[in-house]
Amino acid sequence: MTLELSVVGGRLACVQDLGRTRTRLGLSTNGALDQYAAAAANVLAGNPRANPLVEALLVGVEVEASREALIAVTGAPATLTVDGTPRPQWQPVVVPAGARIRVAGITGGTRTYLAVNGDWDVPRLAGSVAPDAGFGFGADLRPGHTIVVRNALRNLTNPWLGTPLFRLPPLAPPRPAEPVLDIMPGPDLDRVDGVREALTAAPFTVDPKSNYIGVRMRGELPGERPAGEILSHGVAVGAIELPPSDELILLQRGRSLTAGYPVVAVASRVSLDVAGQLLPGQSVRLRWRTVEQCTADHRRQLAALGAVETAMGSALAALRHTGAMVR
Amino acid sequence: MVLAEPAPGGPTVLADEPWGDSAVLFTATGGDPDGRWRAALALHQRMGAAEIVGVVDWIHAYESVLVTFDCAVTEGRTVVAAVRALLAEDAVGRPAPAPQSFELPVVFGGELGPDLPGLAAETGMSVEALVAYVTSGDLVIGCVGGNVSPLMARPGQPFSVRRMTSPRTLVPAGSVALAGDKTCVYPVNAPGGWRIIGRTPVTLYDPDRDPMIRYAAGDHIRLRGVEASEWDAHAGTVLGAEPRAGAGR
Repeated sequence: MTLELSVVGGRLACVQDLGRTRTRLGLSTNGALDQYAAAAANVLAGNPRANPLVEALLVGVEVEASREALIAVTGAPATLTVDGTPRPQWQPVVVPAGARIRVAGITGGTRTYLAVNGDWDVPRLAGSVAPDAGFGFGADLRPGHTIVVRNALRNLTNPWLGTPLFRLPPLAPPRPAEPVLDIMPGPDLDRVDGVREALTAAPFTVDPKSNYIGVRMRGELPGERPAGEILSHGVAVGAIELPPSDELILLQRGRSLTAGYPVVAVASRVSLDVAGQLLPGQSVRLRWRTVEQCTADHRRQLAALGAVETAMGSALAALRHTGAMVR
Repeated sequence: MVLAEPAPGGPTVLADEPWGDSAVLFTATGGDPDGRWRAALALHQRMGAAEIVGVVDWIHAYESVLVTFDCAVTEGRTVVAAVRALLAEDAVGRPAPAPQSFELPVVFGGELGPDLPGLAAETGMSVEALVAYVTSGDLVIGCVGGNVSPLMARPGQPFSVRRMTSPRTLVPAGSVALAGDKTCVYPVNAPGGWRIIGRTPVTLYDPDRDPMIRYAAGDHIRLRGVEASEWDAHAGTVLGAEPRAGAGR
């Protein structure tokens, strides 16, 4: 079944996914800054993790679904209403045909994700729908914009769906007022006296100039900078650079592929999702961790997501078995 | 497992250092810049023909390759071992891919190449002589930078180009520009501080194709001067969509 999602309100929203893997061909990574939330939204909507979905930044978004739909909203805490009725985040939600899905009141973070079950018929660049500023690809979703979703599950209004069909473990990560980013030593850490201690001695403040390219963090830093020019090399998403100015730059998914500033630390895979939700002016702490600890954290998070994926798969298969649900 | 840096003039080797939980940077050390470039290029090309479990992507720069991996399925030391095994295979004689050759028509000077007269003056050449020089030999793509920009060099270029002290906020797509001993083409509109000598009517990438570009590090590009009146004849074509006769792998 094909359904149409008509944008009826909001701004600063776009169609997003987990990004591209074409840096070897000169393309930026891009994609959802909160990868876990985006993947989780799709899992909860019965989609592949990398399916396209809506990323709503700060303001929120309102769409109308032409047919019944299986949706999920994750990311920063927000108010999700379906035809005015509050519904839970981080849970699968069935909406009836013609329903207005509204995501508003985003707080405690910057990004909320809205996944809708089905194959999204949206433009791709090098295999991904993620906006790329360099190529002018991707566009803000504005009222009047329509997204066509094919092969969406239908007959979702099964009597069982009124009951808690999906018994799913909680997926929402904690959102403390002062988030902590786990970091590991970067290649240039020992070239700057005192920086190892300075990174964790006191919290940093997220600068309003932070964006999709990097999170700028102001705080107490040593005045010295390493001498000598560094030949431009590839930089990983999560690299924490020490530029000549009095701030740190945590490189995000829209970064330039190469850079020559000293890299004093690298944020963990899990912490990148936390960094993707930081608000300007927010206080953030850094914490040294080992590669093993950070890897274990990521695997634990993915295992939880995998368990929900399996549970969703079973629930949808059971519904299909009754003949109630077809594509 | 960072290797000690060999003495200058010694053999070029690849050192590896971990970058957090999901990346390893391989940097060519020792030897001369050309040897280091070749070592990084060989790794880049070899990675393209290999499937290492968990490797997601990599960034190839002049003398380094940053390999990113999914730490849910592998870890740094496993990736390093796999990469070193690949390189060991190469050591027993795997030919590098033959370079492709492309020709890029360029309108030099005027509004499309505003920095050409100043640059000619700095190099002590006439505008005509500078254009004759830049069109008389192949540029070698050292690596493909951001926004698929080919970063190129001409072996033995007798001058070095100063960057602009204040970068332009917008360099138009197609601009051919120089800085240091490098030449680049801007595939898309972007800010930049390189000195612009001309502009090509040819598009460097095809957004409907994957990969979007046909050129790669190690390939050769020859600039060919064309008149502004020929612009429309080339506009809309994609570089390499019809390779020069006799070119191609």
